[in-house]
Amino acid sequence: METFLAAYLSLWFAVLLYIGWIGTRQKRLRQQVDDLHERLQGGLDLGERDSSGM
Amino acid sequence: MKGHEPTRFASPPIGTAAVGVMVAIGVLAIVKAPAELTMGDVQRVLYVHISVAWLSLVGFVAMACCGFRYLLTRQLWWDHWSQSIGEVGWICSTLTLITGSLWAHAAWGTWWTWDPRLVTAFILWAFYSGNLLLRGSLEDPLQRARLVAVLTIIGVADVPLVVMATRWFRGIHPVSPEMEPAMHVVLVLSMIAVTAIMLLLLSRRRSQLQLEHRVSELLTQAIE
Repeated sequence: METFLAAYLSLWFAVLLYIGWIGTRQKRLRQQVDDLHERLQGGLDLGERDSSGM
Repeated sequence: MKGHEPTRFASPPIGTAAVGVMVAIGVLAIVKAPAELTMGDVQRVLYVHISVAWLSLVGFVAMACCGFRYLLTRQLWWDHWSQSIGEVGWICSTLTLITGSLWAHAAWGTWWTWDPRLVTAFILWAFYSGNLLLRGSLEDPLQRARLVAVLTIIGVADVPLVVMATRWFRGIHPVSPEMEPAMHVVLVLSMIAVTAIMLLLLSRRRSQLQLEHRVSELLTQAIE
């Protein structure tokens, strides 16, 4: 039975490890989206300042 | 975007279903399936081994199809499919070798032997690994997609060799394990369950890859 349990737990381990890895990629993606949002916000603020200055 | 609720990997019903399915595989294999007469409980490894082995084979064929489609259309959408299948397929291929080794140790008294089925399965794993290494070493997405597609199309020639190795070459790997009807039912259910979990992982990863690509394009535009 221990042979089966080792095989079964290795399946669990692999699936959980992959889910965790996808989670870290998701976190990095979220940071990139935040970065992009800040850049866009910065661009919009600059545009508004330019138009009010004219 | 800051302050928004963080994106979850899987919606609760799907995540719960995946965990439920994983538990069900274990329960079915231990409780429902009878012990085999000669091998005893060791034979239960096959419910995991065959389920991941078939996915590693189907995965490679699917990856080659995506690679072929990419070379025809040059749409990165196909490469995202290929990459997500490649990652899940690598997991399945690795698990095939691990669970096969566990079974071999109990049945043959050795973790590894140069049996044709084992060697061809190892070559498939090497192609999966090469695919991931190639992706990691190239920056340009178009060049990466092209080279990976070519490598995958070359590697798919190994799939029929893995399938037919026990029939075409002399070896010690069983051609097809003899099973009682109750064992067959559990095997089919295990295969469906493992396939469902891997498809769920694959679809999530594919969406993520597509989003990563879009965000990276927008970031490049924003910097310019």
